[in-house]
This record gives sequence, C-alpha cells and structure tokens, in this order.
Amino acid sequence: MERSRQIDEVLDAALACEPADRAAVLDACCGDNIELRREVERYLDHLGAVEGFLAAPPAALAARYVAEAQEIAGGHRYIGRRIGNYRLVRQIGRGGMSRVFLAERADGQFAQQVAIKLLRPGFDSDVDVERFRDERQILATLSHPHIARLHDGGVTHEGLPYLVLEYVEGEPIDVYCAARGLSARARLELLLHVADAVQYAHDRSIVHRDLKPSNILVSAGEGSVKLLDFGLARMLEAGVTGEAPPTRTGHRWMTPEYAAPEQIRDSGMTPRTDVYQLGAVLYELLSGHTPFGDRIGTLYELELAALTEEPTPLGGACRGDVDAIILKALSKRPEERYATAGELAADLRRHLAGHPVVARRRTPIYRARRFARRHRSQLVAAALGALVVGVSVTTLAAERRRAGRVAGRAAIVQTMELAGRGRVERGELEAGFALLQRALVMRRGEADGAAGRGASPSASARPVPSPAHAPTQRGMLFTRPGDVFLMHPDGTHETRITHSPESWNDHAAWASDGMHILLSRAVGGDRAIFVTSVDGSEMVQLTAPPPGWKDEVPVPLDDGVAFVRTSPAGHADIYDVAADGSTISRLTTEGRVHDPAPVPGSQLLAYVSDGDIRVLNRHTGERRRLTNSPTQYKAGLAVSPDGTQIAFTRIDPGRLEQIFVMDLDGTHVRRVSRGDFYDFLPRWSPDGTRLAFTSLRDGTSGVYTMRVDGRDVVDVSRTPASLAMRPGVSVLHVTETLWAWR
Amino acid sequence: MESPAIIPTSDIAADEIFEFIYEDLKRIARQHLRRSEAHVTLSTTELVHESFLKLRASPRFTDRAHFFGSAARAMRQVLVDFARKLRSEKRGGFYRRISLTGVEAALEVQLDEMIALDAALEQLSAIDPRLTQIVELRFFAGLPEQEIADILGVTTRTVARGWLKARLILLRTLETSK
Repeated sequence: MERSRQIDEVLDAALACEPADRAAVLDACCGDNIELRREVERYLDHLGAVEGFLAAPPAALAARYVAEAQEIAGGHRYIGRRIGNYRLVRQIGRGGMSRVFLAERADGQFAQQVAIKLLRPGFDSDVDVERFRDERQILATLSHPHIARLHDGGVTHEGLPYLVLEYVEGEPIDVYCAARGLSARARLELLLHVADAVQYAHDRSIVHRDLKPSNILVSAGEGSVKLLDFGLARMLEAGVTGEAPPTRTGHRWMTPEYAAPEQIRDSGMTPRTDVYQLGAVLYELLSGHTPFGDRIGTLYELELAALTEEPTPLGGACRGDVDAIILKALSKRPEERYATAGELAADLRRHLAGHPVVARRRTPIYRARRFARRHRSQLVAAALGALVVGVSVTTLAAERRRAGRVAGRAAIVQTMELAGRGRVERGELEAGFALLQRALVMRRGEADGAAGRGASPSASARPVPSPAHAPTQRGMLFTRPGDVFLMHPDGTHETRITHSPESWNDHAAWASDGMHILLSRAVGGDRAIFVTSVDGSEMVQLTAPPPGWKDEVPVPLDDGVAFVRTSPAGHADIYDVAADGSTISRLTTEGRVHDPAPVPGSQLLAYVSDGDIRVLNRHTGERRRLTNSPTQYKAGLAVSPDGTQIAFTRIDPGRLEQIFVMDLDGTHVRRVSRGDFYDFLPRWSPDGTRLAFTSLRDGTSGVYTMRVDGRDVVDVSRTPASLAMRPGVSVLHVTETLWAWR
Repeated sequence: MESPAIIPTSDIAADEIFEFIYEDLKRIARQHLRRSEAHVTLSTTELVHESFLKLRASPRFTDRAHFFGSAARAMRQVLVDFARKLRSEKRGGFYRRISLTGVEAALEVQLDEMIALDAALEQLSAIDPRLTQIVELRFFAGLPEQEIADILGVTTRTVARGWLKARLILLRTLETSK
C-alpha cells in the first residue's frame, strides 16, 4: 500500500514538471531507491503512446458494432429455409463473401447431413459469382480422402449460388491436438496428412491460399483429417507448380495470422504460399500460437511483423530439425521455402525417420537472414519517423536509399501503407490517410514532384471556368473516406479528384456551371468550402470561416453557393456566398440547421431544423415549417427536378431509417422504402420518376435505385465494375449517367 | 487543494438515462455509417449535449454534474455490453472464420480491446475514482477538458494532468494484463 502511494506521488511529481526537468525530479524523488524509480519509469515509458490512445471516438466503434450485429442477425434469417433438397439447420461458419450452414435432407428420403455454402447477398456481383463458380470447378477436380467433397451445387430462387459439401463433424486441428494433449510427434504426423492433401491439390495446379486450423478439421472418432474451404483457391496455369506465373488476387482476402508475405503485399502466389501457411499452422500446433501471435496486438503490427520480422525459433524439443524445417517453410522469400507441400512433407518424414533434413543444409540463408534483421531496424525507423514526426517524403527517400539494399523501395512503401492502415483502423484518420497518400505517391514514383501538391488556399483567387477543363459529360461524384472520386459517364472507370495528403475531403457536388466541383475540405480541425476543376489541378478556397468555425456541405445555387457553417459551440446555420465570392450572408438563425436542398427554378431552399423540415425564400427571408414531428429525425433532403416533391430520410425512434416523400407544401407524406433495411440519402433521377439511395444491406453500404412508389428496387452500385461494394461509398450526386446505366 | 465533486454512481435515474443514451447512440452509430468519420467526435459531444437539453426539462436531471456522470457511464456500459455480446456471438462454438478481411479481423481485436479497457478502468477506479471519471467524461462522453473541469469543480490543468496520468496507468495495466 505504502509502495503504491509512493509510486503515485513520484508519478504526479514527474508529470507536473516540464519534460526537460523530469530526470532531475526523478533523481530528487527516488534518490538511490532504484526499484521505485524503475516502477515509475514503467508508467512514463508509455508517454509516447498516450497521444493515440483513446483517441478514436467511441461512436465510430459503436457504428461498427451495429453493422456487425446486423450481419449476425442476417444469418439467423436463413435458418429453416429450404435450398434444393435440403433444409438449413444452423449457421456453422461465415466468411468474407459467404455463409456456411449445416443442412439436412428436407424430403425425408434418407438422413443425410451436408454443409451448404451460400453466397451472401450483396456479394453476388459478376466477380463474386465467378469466384464461387471457380471454387465449384476446383472442388469438382479434387477427390481425396483428406479433402471435404463437393456433392452438388445450384442457385437459389433469388439467384444466389450455393455449394453442397461434405459435412465434416470434427474439431479444428489445433483444438483437437490441445484437447487430447497430443505429443509433438503425433502433431507432426497429423500435419503430414494435411501436407499430402495440399500436395494432391498442387499436383492439379491448385493453390489453396487459406490454410489455417479452422479449415483443417479432425473427426473425433477415427481422427482423420479433412481439408476444407477452397474459397480462396486458385488454379495456376496448366502444368505450372513452380515460380511463374504467379496468381494475383486484386483483392486482399486472407486470414492475417497465416498470410504469407506475398499475400500481404498481393504480389503473386504460388504453391510456396501454401508451404508458408503449412509452416504457420505447424508453428501454432507446436507452440500454441501463430508465428507472431504471441507479441502482436493489432492487425497492422501483425502484417508488419510478417513482412519484416523473423519468427522466434521454438527451441526446446524442436531445437534443430523441426525449427529448421519450420523456419525454412516460413522464409520471407518464397524461393527460400520448400517448392511444394510434398517437399515439406518429405523433410518432415526424414526427421521422423531420424534422417538428416534438407532444411539444415542452408547456412548461407541464415547468414542472409541475420543481415536482413540488422537492416530491419532502419526500415521500421523510417516508418516510425513518418508516424511520429511526419517526416517529409524526401527524408523518407533518404531512408529508403540507406535501407534500400536489403529492403528496397517496395518494402518501405508497404511499411508505410501498413502503418497508415493501422492508424486508420485505430481511428487516427488524418495521420493514417496522410501516410497512405504518401505511400501512394511513392508507389507512383512521384516522390520528388508531389510534395508540394494540394491546395494553396487563397481566398482572393477565384476559379475561372476554362473550357480546357470542361468535361464532355458529367459523371457521378462519390466519396471514399477522405477523398472525392468521379465515376465516369460510361461507368467503366473512376478518377480521384482530391489528392492532398493533409486533408479530408467530402460533400462533393457539381457547381452550377457543370464544370467545377464544390467540396468541403478539412485541414487539421479547420473546414472550408473549396472549388476545383475536374482534374483536381485548380483547387481554390471559396469560403474562409472565422477561426474555430467550420464550413460544410456546399450546395450549388444558380447564383452562388449555399453552405452550412458551424460555430465552435456546434451551432449550425445556412449561409450563402455569391458566385464571385464577394458577399457572404446568413440565411437562417435557428442554430440547429442541416441538409440544405435548393428547389429547382425558384429562390426556395429546403432544410432541416430541429428535426423538422422547413423551407425558406432566399430573397424575402420568409420561412415555413413543413413538418412538425421533432422526435422523428429527418435528413438527406432532395427536391424533385420539377420542384414539387421532397424526398428525405426519416428515423423514427427504434426503427430503421427509411426514405419518405412528401409534397412541397408538407402534405402527402408517404413512406417509400420497404422497411427491411437502413435506406438513406435519396437522390432524384433527372425525369423525377426514380430515386437513387444508399442502403445498408448485410453490413455493407451500396447504391440502389427504385421507383418513387418504392417498387422495382435495383442494385446499381456494382453495375460499373469499379464502384464495387466498398465501405463508406455514398451517393452524393446523381446524374443522367447513372440512370443511363440501368 | 481542490476538493472534487464525486459523482454518485448508483442512483435510481441511471436506468432511464441508460435507455435514452442507448437509443440515441444507436441512432448516431447508424448516421455515422454514412457520414465521414471527421464528424464523429462532434456527434458524440452533440449527443450528450442534446440528451442533456432534452432531459433537463425533467426535474430529476437538474444536476449537470450528475447527469454527465451518468451519461458517460451509460455510454461506457453500452459499448462494453455491445462488445461482449458480439464477441460471444462470433466465438460461439466452433464458429469458423472462413476468410477474414482485414476489417473483420480488426473488429475482433477491437472487441477484445474494449473489454480489456473496461477491466482496466475497474482497476483504475480502485486506485483513483476521479481518474476514471475523467476518462469516462473525456473518452466515452467526448467532453472537452474545460467542461470536465466545470463538472468536477477543478481546474482545466488538473483535468489535463489527470487525463494524461489516467492513460499512462491504463496503458501500463493493459500491458501487464496481456
């Protein structure tokens, strides 16, 4: 008790003084009590980490929890449903794009249990369906006692493809081994069966790519091994089992704990990828944790370790042969691993038979490893430098030159990307995106030219619409967190409009000249409205809020731009700025205003204030309240092209967000969306017959359209291939083009 | 020395506040899914203020300090309960992860972290309950330091120092419990 009070007092003293005086204060407080001083320093050691700790707003966490809870609830809906000749009994697994159910014969013909793998709704784009079909084809070519068999496949009545698979009643291999306290030798022998199954697949030019304990089941009875889930498997070019040509995924689907370095950097996969994963599984079976699982907290640290750190040898009974075999399988460079699962199995058998193993004949590799390890510290230092100090690209480039011999530029870029993603995952968005952006710049080999790119805010310089920058046709603007993108009219490709690593950009809209884009840009804590040409080259600051105030949500008007300005105390009102930027005037005074939406062909502006929709006349200043139900939160206003109706999102307490439409005088309020999903942000089609909206379905947000009466819902977000389901994609502005796609 | 106001942690109105915050939090969370994350800090603060304004009408919630203390606590409870429930759902039986995207894996880590944070806060309360209050008001309710100082009746300097010290202790606790 006395001791902890002492520590507390010294800690208080150390925190109360200037950082420069800290050592002196510790000297004075602790004297020669080294134990006490060490204890206090264990707290002070965390000073470097304090900044990022508890920095992510909890509402961001809550949002993910809600999405996840929805996803889980989504699986429950399927229980009891009939698919083909089977009835779904319970969900036994879920992956990135599919769910797996235990099912039994529904026709009472005979008792049979199967596993049914069903594509998740929302993952039924052409690409996903093709991958599902690949899996079916791959499984159809595999017939091996240690690989779970394919029975059948088909398509449900709503068009979702499914596979009927052998149901394996068993435990994951790690659980099986632990529960029975198997000897190391017995574990190695079990893994040999797995390696044989993988080699069988390699012989057919198939790489599994997702080997991990939960995909390797051992039946409780006879202890027989079954390899499952070829959902990530790929067929290599016929006859190729060696180095080239590697498979590229384009998607980073993987299980991080078992991912090989080339999977993390998506740089091509061969049978040697499976060898790495077998090594990782073996490592876990013998040590109880994955290669870096014992010392790694977050996902990005895990990926960073898989790229840059050597796994700790197991030692003990594994010292020598087994360690050598595992470390060879876990080599960072694929060419240093066993070429196939069969070679790994052969070495394991040599060890079990007491013969010398191939893995130990490779001392030069160890020397090379040691060399790499020495240089890793530089690599990490470069990344940490970027994290902590935000060093410039040129400094990083210098670091790169030093570390380059071993790591190469690519590794630095990867390190930055991992660190950036890690920061984003932790909610440190601006720092994270800054890193990602820098990495992107380096990837493009523009390290020298790009440092000064981005906005140079200047309130006096106004954009001059120049025909040279006029797009031939407008496209659809959308955001992914932090940046604005343009989907081109033909729906085939997208362009990034904003590139500034220091800023956060959103709320994009076409200016009324049809040639410029308005957006809201945050730099640090400051937010202002900017206007840019379509290629992002002319970025000009349009508004200059007083210090501490924020300007958000620009709305193009025929004679200027309206926007929402928020005071430091959180009071938000609508302002407008004349087209030449000369005058700014305040349009509302309620203080709790958002979502301005102009009524086409008039001076009217609809908006939400205190939960209700109002409309104001910008010239006369006259305001009118259209709804009177403040407990039903409303947002996302959009006025129909003919100016007669308003579409909006309404959130009734305890209900899902739904899209409603009403007449401009506040009458004829009617619900349009069906009530099963979170639907929001409605936007009108140019002819006023349909609404586009964002909807959260199965935990993913996508863009849909429907008729104004709510019928004929069409999923459009995956029509243009590149606007695939990605988190955070929302409809911001819809034009003719979107409707043309349908 | 300042004498800080200690916020009562058990009281009859806590359930009511909890319900209210819980519903509002879900609403904010849903909105968050379609807005840029840059707004979220604001939203959290707004949420608590908004709730306060609405509840203030009731004669039972006239005590500002009392209200914010309960609201922050409710927020913590909501998040931890949510994390526990989700984790048990995700880990029930041999529920297999077929293949995880990075995002899903990160979520699992976050669920663990949230639960560990809750335990660390319990330990912190045993050492210094005022530090826990500062963390709750600052992190879970998203209040600025000035406001926390007003509520607790101390200086901003005390709040800033307490916030720093609390995080150091939490980080140390999390490190040793790993």
